[in-house]
Amino acid sequence: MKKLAIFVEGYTEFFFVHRLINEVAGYGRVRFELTQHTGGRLISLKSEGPPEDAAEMFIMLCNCCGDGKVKSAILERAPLLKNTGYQTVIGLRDLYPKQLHELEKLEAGVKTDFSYPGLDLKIFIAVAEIEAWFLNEHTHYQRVNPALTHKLIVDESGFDPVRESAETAVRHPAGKLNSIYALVGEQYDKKQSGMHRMLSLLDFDRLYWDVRPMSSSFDEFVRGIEGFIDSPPTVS
Amino acid sequence: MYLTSIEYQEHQGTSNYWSVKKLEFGNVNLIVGKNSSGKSRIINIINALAVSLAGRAAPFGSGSWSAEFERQKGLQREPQVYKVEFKDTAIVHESFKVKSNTVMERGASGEGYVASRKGGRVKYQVPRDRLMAVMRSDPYQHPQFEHLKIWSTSLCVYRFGSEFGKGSLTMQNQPSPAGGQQDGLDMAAAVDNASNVFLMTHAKFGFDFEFSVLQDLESIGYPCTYVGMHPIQNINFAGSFPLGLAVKEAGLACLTTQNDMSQGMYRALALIVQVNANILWAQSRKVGRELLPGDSPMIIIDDIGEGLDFDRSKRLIHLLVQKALKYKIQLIMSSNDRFIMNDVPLEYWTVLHREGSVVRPFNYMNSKSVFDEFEYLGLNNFDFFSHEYFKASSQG
Repeated sequence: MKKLAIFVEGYTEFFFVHRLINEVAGYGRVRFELTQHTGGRLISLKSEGPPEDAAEMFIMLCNCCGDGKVKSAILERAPLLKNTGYQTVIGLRDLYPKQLHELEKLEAGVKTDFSYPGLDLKIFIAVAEIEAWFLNEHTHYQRVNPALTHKLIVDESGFDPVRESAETAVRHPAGKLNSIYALVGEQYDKKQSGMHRMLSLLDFDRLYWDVRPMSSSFDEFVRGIEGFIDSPPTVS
Repeated sequence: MYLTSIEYQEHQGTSNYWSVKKLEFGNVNLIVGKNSSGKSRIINIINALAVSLAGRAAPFGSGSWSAEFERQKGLQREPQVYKVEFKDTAIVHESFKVKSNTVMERGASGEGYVASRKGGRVKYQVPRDRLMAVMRSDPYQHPQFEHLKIWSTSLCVYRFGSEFGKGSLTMQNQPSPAGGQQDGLDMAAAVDNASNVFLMTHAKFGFDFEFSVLQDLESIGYPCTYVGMHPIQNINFAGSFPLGLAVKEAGLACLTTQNDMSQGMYRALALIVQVNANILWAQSRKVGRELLPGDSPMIIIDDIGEGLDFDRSKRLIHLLVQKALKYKIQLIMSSNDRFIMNDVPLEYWTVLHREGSVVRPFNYMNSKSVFDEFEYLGLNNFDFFSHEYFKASSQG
């Protein structure tokens, strides 16, 4: 069975990527191992999905909990991942607090000394945070609160979620999202419970079809996931 | 006063030669380095200078210090430089500079001068093994030494990785080693006696102190509903029981005394007691205004987090950094724990690297570009240390 490991920075990315993979691959195809990398240890949180003999692919999703940078966590785990049959390892990190003009330098930096024999390693950078992707899913605002209209958002926040790419227009997407929600007395909550609510509000079809053309970092990340999903099965 | 840098050497010209190149400090500092790179030794160097200037140390066989300070004077910062060199338990040179003026200098004979308030020089002769800065410190005649004296007498060095006073108990009716309450508590004299610090501080500040200790314990993952002093029943001094720290942990019906606490929990509690007491006593000396840099004693914590689990040690460091920034405390911590290193921003780091008998520090102040570049590699802070990225500055 083909195996992929994904390392992300925190809860937001963890729950979002989990849901995104299920949406892209289709439910019932992927067996997940959900883990947490903290204090130098990899802690298994839960396994889910079809049994191993029925699953088409296996994905270990790891939350680095912010205390271990994604690249270091991957390099630290690479020998074990290789020995346990993984072929591909993906990392997802934010550009923020760095700015857009630093993206090129960061991309080059994360590629430096980032390899392990027999493993395909890649790090994707969300510009500036994955909240930028949420910002452009413009239909979800009405589900947050019907009073949060497109006109109100444009007039009050100065950001047009339909026409502008949050990637280039918004320096701190999580802050912008929070300030938009605050227009109607709501708040963007990055805690675990808040993330579950957030994911229930997002329309993943819209993300897939409407946000990808507006957000090159999201498009690249989805292509990275699809590259694995669509790859031929392995013998082992 | 803030210590802004220190440079040290000893046994110059002999096989025992050992030196620390200029090590600059910020407000918050984490000293990291491999074992035997000199972390604890640097702490000892700062401490030795302080106890000498406080008049509490015998002369050293060998040692040469150059220490730069900054004194907050209104909105201005006034630089001060103190230098001293010991050889064969005598002082061969000593000087003190305030801004660009040398206000004291003496030679090996003990002869020298101190600048007078009117601008002239007053000649003095002090014993060869005594510091002029100590012998001639006088708030009326030579007030220039006052801030140096305050810095040196108040410096608190906490050895977190040690027993840290777990065995020190307090008798309620005995005089405190840390003195009375009129001028505040001498925290430097009670660094290994958290129970006494608690007793004296609680007597003065009551619930405010208790509340801040409980709040901090909770913030690092030890929720407690009570903290106080409790008789230690299994120790009896002529019919009376000594007092020790005790907490009531949330969810437990009984008290946990300092004797029964895990070493990690005791260390965390003792440090929280000490730091909060430091803040409250400093505030009580500066009533009516916010604390400025130098109002609180400089705090040094060796082996921070040692004995605590990862999550609590991470939270403890966050708490300390937060307090240091809020109350303008100069904080120096040392550690070689990788998880602590990963959690403390690189801007606070000093990496020590020893080449033979020479210790070189690398930090933002002397290697800014290397630290900045490292940020783009997307690696853990620990990798900066373990892969020796910091050395790029000496190679570049």
